[in-house]
Amino acid sequence: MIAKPIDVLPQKPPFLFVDEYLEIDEQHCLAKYTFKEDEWFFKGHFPGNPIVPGVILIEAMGQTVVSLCIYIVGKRENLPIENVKEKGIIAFTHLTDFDFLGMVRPKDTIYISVRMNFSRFYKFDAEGEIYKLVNGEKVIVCKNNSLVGQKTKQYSS
Amino acid sequence: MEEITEIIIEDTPKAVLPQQPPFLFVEEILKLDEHQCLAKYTFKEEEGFFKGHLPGNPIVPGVILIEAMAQVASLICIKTISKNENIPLSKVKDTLLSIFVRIGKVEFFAMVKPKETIYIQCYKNFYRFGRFETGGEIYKLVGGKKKIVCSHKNLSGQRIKV
Repeated sequence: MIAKPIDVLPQKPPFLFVDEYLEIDEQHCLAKYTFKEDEWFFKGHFPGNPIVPGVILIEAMGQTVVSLCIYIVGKRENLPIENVKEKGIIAFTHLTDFDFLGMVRPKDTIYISVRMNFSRFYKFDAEGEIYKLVNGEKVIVCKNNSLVGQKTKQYSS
Repeated sequence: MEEITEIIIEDTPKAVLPQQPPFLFVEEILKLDEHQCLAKYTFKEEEGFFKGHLPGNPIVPGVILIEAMAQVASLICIKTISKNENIPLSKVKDTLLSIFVRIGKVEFFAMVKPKETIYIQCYKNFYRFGRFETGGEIYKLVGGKKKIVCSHKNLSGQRIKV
């Protein structure tokens, strides 16, 4: 039984974009999220034409990468995944080559698949893609090359 | 340091951009032409995302900073179209939607907290066949000095018909 994202991630609703982990191990993580009709950003993006903002997709991928980092740190320090977050937060520091290929609308379910490129000291680099299923087929919504996070010891800036 | 008190643009971002609150992260345009744009935004304490990011410790999410840069970048695109096709600035959004298609590189250097003001500066790389690409940065003023918060390279948008 994999823990719930809400117990693992420091982010909380309405800024949590991972509902459930489907697979997680030290190399990759697959998670899913369904956008609700009443998400706070649909009111402004765009009025009368709700589309999930691209940056929210980046955030969903960022949060999945953070989950994977927390899982790896947990393995290393022999802690259950839910308890690791007390050790510090992961700040999103750098991102390259993020492409958007499709649109996501309210009530769509996205699958977020990320793979770890490397994790050394307190720095993590991952790549991945987000897809949705249309009539059973994968349609890639966005993908990226490298998303880097740094684990900080505390909250201060 | 450059003076940034003079307001040249009368149109408000709310009238020009298709995005509307609570997903509008440009408050005032300080400078705008076909090549560059400087705008500012002050994060309010009651923004929707602070409740979840992070509880008890509000920090502006990095992706919201990317969105602010993208919205300023699309202002340059709107200005270019308005000039080329002779449409008033606030009417351009009725004919196009600029979709965020790609981002080449973003780096984050500092955190932004509620009530802080950010200045968003973008430069156009090119605009061709409805596709535009920009580069730029966000800074805040700390004791009158610029402090870079994040920067981007190769952010592109595609114009699509509404």
